[in-house]
Amino acid sequence: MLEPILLSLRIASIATVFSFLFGVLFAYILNKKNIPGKNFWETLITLPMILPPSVTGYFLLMLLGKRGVIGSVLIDMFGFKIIFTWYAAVIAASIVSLPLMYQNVKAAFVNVDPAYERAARTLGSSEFRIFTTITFPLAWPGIISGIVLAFCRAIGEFGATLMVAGNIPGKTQTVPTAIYYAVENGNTTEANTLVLIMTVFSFVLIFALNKWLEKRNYLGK
Amino acid sequence: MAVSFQLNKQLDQFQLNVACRFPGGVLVIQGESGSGKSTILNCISGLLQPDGGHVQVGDRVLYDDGTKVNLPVQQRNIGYVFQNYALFPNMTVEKNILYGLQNQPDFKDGKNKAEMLRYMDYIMDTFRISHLRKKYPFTISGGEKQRTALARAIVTKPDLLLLDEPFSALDMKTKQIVYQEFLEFKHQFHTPVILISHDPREGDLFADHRLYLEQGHVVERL
Repeated sequence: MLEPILLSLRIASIATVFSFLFGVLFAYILNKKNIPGKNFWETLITLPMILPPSVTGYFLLMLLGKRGVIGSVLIDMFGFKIIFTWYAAVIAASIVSLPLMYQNVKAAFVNVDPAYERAARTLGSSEFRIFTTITFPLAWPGIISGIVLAFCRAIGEFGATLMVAGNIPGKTQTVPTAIYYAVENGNTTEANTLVLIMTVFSFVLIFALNKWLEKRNYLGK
Repeated sequence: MAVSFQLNKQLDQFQLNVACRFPGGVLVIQGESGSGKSTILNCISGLLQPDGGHVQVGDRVLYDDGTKVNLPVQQRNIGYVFQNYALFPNMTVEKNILYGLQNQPDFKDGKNKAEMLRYMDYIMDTFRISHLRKKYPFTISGGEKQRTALARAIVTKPDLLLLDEPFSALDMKTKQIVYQEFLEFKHQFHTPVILISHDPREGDLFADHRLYLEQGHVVERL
């Protein structure tokens, strides 16, 4: 029972790093720079949040499968089959957690009063320094929310993961897929235990986040 | 140091069209809200690009549509005190003052740190904010914020200082103190200043030169 827990933690952690990097990058580019087609790109990033996980999984299958756009290139060039590996689960979890990360980081960036960035410019600061010393630190509480929610989403990912990584015990079986198959096989003890662990874990994370956000308020206190 | 600007900018309600030259001292621009006062400051500082015109401080041309000169904000060496002061809320008063200094070529990347800190102390003493150095902006009073914002803008030794209604957020009692401090500042530092205000008393108190603006046009000069 420990294996799916450890694998879920590993997949969700790596997926959160990816969605953090891309979420911050996309939120900065799309909301702080004048990029043509902003609405199109934003819709594309947000799509996995509202599409059924099976649809996202199907798209990923078309990309990562043996005859998929990326999957076939990986096989031809490196002899590496990504489908039904835990790497594919990381990609699935990254894709489905990215919208949550993006939306939170975007809201956090938009909430940073542009007057601070303008003031920093008049003080001779480069755009990079403004980002690292003003925009990012002021947006940090919102970014932390994004990280926690994206992690929770990634660890709970089921549909898309099942389609691209399958349910191979010890290899690609995560907690949600382990719960599904435990229920299907009538193993209620395992199902109950994993459900309890997932519920308590997610509750504690969100509870701690809310507590932290209550305490941290630069402007109000 | 002489300052001259001629600016054209199409705004939502009207066309801004102003020209002015003053030989230094304090130029007070007055007018109703929405008459284009802040747009002038934003165009001079480079935060906003005008449709055409010319901005020059001393011998330096900062913007000229004819010769396609358009220096980025960072290279204009203009101090700016915003209406709400825009003090960085995640930094102490001391860090706010240091922020601009650390962008200066003399002090960049930790160069001449002792000299930089000495100069910062001098500015903080001059503006009587040394006792606030470890405090965050949200813990200090309106008058202290105003002094900090002014110190932060002047610490980089700008060629021109822009003040966008810096007294409007203060209560009457604080205003009297801050007015006195600003007069002291005016005598101590000889940086040319453009001060935006809609309070005629501030014009009477501080102005060496005055512009009255209406719907983006100068209607009176004194």
